[in-house]
Amino acid sequence: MKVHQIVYGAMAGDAITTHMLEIDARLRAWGLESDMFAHYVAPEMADRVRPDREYAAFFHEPDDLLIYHYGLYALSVRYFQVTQGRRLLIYHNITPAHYFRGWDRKQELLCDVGRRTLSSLSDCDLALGDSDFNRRELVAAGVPAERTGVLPIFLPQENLEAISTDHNLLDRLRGTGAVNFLTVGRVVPNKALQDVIRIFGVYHRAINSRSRLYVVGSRYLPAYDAALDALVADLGLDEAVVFAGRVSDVALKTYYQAADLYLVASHHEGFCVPLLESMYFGVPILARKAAAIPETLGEAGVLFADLGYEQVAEMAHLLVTDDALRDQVIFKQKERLHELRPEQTEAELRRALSRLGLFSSE
Amino acid sequence: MTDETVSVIEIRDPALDGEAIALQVCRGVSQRQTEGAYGPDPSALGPESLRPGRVVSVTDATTGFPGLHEALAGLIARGTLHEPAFVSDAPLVGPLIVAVRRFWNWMSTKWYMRPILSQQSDVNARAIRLISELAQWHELDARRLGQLEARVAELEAHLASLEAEAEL
Repeated sequence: MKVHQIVYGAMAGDAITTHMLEIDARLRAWGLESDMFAHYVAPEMADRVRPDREYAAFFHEPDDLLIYHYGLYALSVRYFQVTQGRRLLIYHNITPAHYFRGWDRKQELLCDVGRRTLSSLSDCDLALGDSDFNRRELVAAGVPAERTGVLPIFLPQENLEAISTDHNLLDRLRGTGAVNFLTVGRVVPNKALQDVIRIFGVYHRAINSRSRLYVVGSRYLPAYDAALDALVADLGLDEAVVFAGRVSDVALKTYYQAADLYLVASHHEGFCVPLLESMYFGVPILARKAAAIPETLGEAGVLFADLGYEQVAEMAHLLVTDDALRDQVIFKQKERLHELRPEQTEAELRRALSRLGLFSSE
Repeated sequence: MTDETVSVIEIRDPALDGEAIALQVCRGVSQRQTEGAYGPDPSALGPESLRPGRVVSVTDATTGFPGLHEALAGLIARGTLHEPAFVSDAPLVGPLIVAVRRFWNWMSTKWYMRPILSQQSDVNARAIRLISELAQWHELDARRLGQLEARVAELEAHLASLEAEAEL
């Protein structure tokens, strides 16, 4: 009996890839044979992850378990549909298509097809969401509730610790003495970066002009990028807002280390890994109360339910300047991170695999 | 404290006094409003496409092709061909039948059928990509057609009113 995992893309630093690798490590530690497949395998992963077409050799193994990570529509979803062994779906969420309407037709269609396809996977043996928010979407797609569960994303803290700091970058970010706002993630419409920029714009204009907003994440929607650039120009923030693009792990860690506040205004997030990273690096979080964000935060961080740009900017100011408030928010975030520690996720994984009969003694 | 502030900021940590913090936020906002520090409403700036309240339709009615996306999803899901598994319900000889068919299948597919399956899967994938592109263009055309129809109706109404005025 073997356990196979399939993701769309396997690359270093990617949250879903890290999650897959962590699951793989647990499976091996528990004495199970495990292998991993992906449609796109980055060069640094080539010795660990196989091209997904090679999974076809395992279609007819009734005792095997296939774990399919679903966060983006891919033709490999067909493998999950036809394989004869046990099937565990891990749903990382697919953004509702309407967020891309008017911005990018291809992304809109991919998301649309991806979400519609979810219902065709509902006959799997078990389906897990990264969050209860994702689990509820699985139920809405037709998975019987009793065959669903929650498996939070693994965030291996030792990996974050092992990453070095880019001291040149840190000096540049810290050297100006400016207050640094940070937001991390792909530059896509569901993350409502226009609201992040507007909140920051109010803070910059009315409260502290010695401030910067760093937007770290890949930009690949030209129409949305151009609109954000135009907004930045209209608000007079050309010098204060920096789109850093996709950066290395070293640079990402450095941005967190230099940040005074993590600001997120997403309308739709299935889990939001950067929240955990902010907790780890001790950056106070100010986040929109939407989708899975309140669930990931628990009692930590500060939420805003609506805009309110002035109120949210003023709250950001308090989080930056009120030491007692800031310390308590960071302390609570550390507590929340402890609740989401890898050992907890490992126990959840073990329970999920037991439900599939892998550990008959439990 | 205004109700607006209470509804905007939410602090769940029981160790923090959420109301007191909201009050502080409210005072800060009031003071800066008095000072005229905020400037123009940020929601009124930037391109129209980024303004709050921008309405986006969540239906695919604009395609004029009901079920297009479902059909495409089904096509993609079935695009890659796979060898069937043999089973037999026949008592006693069933496993033998399955073994023989599996062996024959192995003999025939390994050298001959698998390359054909692979070729066909590749053709299917390319066709699906092409159909996806066409579907996207179709949606764009449908939307443009809708806009043109609305414009023609508007011009016809304007023409009718001009004609009515001329007759008077």
